[in-house]
Amino acid sequence: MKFSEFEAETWDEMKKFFDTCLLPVTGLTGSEAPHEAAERLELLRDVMDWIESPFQGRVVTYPAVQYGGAEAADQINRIIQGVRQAGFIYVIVASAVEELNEELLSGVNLIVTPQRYAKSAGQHKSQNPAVQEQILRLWQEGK
Amino acid sequence: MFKNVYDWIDERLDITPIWRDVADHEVPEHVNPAHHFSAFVYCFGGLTFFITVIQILSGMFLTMYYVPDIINAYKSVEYLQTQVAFGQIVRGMHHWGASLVIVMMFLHTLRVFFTGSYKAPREMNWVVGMLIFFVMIGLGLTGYLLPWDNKAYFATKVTLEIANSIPVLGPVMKELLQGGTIVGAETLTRFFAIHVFFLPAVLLILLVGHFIMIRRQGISGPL
Amino acid sequence: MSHQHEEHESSHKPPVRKEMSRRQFLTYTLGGATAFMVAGVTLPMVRFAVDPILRDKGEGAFVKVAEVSKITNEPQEFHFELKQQDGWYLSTANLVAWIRKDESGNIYALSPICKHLGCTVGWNSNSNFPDQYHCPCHGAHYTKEGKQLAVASKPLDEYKVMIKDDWVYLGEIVPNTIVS
Repeated sequence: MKFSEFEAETWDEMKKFFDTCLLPVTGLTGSEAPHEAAERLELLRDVMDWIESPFQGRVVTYPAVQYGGAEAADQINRIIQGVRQAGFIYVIVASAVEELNEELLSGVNLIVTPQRYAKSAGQHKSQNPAVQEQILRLWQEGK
Repeated sequence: MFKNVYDWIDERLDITPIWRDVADHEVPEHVNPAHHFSAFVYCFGGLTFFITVIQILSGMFLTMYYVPDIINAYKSVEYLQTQVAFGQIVRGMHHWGASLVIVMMFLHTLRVFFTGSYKAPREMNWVVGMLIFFVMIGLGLTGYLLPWDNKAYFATKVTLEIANSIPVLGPVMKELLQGGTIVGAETLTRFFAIHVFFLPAVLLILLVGHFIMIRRQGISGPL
Repeated sequence: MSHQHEEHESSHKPPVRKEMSRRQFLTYTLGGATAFMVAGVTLPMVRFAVDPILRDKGEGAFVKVAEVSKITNEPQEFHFELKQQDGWYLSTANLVAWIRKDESGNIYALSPICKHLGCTVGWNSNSNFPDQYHCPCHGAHYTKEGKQLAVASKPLDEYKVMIKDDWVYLGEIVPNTIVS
């Protein structure tokens, strides 16, 4: 579910079901033409669908980090720490920036980008079996 | 067959006296265009009522498709106009009827004035007629906003500024009509309620009074 | 001439016609004209009002999804698109259905949306729960008829099914009718 779908009164009861946070990183630099910015957001949207759609009862999508790719790694790491403090056990970063990797993002459990999982995308745009497998493994192995 | 239906009802309710009053009611010579062609001016009152009936009917049917909120108002009007069978005709009747009813009412008022029919003993009827005039203007102004397009929006802002200019009560009335501090969602719902429920109710009461007085006193005499 | 005329006259009775009185004629004429005008005003309005039942349904609320010959006792996953038009509002939903036929040959289709919090369940996706639908989020699982066995409090929803020309058509989602 999206962060905006929760209410203050119900979060306390609901949080036991939602242990995973999806943090989208758009990777804009500001030098994009408007339509290019729109295209990048759409690309990110497709990647987010792979994660949100099958697991909407356990994953909370937080607001996106819009500007900065690899250079913003420090900021993203701080956000990941913050998210864990908020109570989330697993953090997944969905990104349209291919340069983000596990070295740069030390605290993340899983990074999903278009190219990493392009092969298993499948004919149905919103489904990606390899991504689903990865997330299930993450939950089963607990790290 | 009609005779049988009539007889069945008449046996139970004795409607013949009422029917005879209507059916035997002769058109006085001085208002009959067959005798004096210029007497056609006496038809404008009835014509105003006839168009009012069309407005009520077409308005009722329009509410089956129109949605009075700011997200859907325009789309619902576009939908009923273009996608529903006879939508153009029903909406057209209402749109043009609105203008026509003002014209007919104005001509009727001119006739009443220039024949001096407002004089004793018909003063009350003139007052009721004036009230009907105000209600009709109100219906026109509230109905105008409902499609929620640019024309509607800015025309309403102008109207509300006019209300605002009234001394002392102006600003209060403006905010009351707006339903808030701006012309927005509250204004639209409020105007819809006024246009569909409140003003028609007042109009019907006034019309009943108007017609009762006319039948009681008869049409004004020859000049 | 008049002689012949008189002879004619004496051998005939004057013809008796059932004549309409002026009043009747006027009543019919005026009544007819009024009825015509009233109809001219009200008939378009009535047609306007009843339009929803007289409109063509178009492709209908059912979408062609799978060939009947492909359906087995084992649930299979099928993807399809459903276009919904509500007045001026058009939306396209991408849907998934698990279709199987039971022992008596009846075909039914279940929606894989878990009734707990909306995750997508899979058939036979967890080795601890063979031949069941299992939800990876919180462990809810269901029988092949969709009956809930843990975590969820309701059975999986069904799609309305229509079989036509050896194809399975799926309609709107309704609560499960197989398990009561």
